[in-house]
Amino acid sequence: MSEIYFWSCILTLSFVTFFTRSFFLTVGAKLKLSPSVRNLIQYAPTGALIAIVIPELLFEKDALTKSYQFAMQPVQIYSSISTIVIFYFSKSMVLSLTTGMVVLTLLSKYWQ
Amino acid sequence: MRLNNLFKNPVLRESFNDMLGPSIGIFTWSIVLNLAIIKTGFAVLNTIVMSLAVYAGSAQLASIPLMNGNFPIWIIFFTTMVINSRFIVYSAAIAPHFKDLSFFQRAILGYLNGDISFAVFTRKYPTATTDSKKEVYQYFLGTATMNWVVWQLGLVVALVFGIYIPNEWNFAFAGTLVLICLIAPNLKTPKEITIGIVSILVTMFTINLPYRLGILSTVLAAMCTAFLIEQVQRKNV
Repeated sequence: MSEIYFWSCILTLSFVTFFTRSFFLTVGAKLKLSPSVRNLIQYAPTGALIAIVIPELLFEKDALTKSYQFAMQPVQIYSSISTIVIFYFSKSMVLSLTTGMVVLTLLSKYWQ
Repeated sequence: MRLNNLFKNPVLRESFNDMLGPSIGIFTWSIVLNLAIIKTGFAVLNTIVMSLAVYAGSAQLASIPLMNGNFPIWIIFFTTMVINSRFIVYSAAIAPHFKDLSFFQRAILGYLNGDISFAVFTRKYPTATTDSKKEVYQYFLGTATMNWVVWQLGLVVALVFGIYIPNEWNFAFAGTLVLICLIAPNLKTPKEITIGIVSILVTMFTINLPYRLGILSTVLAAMCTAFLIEQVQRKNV
């Protein structure tokens, strides 16, 4: 990662933070968002986050071709399931993350 | 405003108080996320700069592998734009409260508008109220500033204790677990679960598209699915 590349990324990312968070407060202050568009936008983050998480759980990166190969990651999957279950019942992110990490560590140490 | 007056101001005190519980979540998330970033081999100084300037957890997390892989900047721009798109909706929700402020003030408020402080703020002020504008402004500033400070404190802890955490702990996976905790509450109703399943399938089939275009495909698929379900529901009513 070169210096120029890093700072260009930081500048870009800062702009994205500023632009999205203040959109209707600044540039879009005069705009009126139609309720149906506002309604559909709310599903975008779910899609994006799923697209980021799934490769960690169901795929392996081929070191040579750099492409993803379908391969279940049981340790990661069980860790995720335990996190979701604890989060569902406790609503505590701290507790569910701790559980998920303990499950991940134990399984990768003693099972595989 | 002088510092000792800051804690005497009832509105600010209330906002700090309301953020106390949620702060624990912000704090741990920041530690985990920043540790995950450091563990991918991201330089310490770069991590600090990023946390101060970018200040957007999931977008930071998503752009790190792209930056480490020297992906083109437009991919990074696009990916984080999509992930941050929820903030556009948040800004639409808070805008009516602050339309009398100057452009500069509104810009600052927008930049500080984080997930959790937004949730705390809208719990107290769901719609534009008749309350004194100054109070609403101070309350928002209080929650948002606390969110920022606690987030950066998490970074400090991650930097100081990061070296004591062995690499084989696979701490980077904690970042994925945080994202899972953010996805899970959005998948409750049959409609949302359908959207989730479609998103997973589309991700699986588009994963090897160049420049992580699979992310865009999945976002569009999620929104199209929501649209179609709503059309079907409307016809059946």
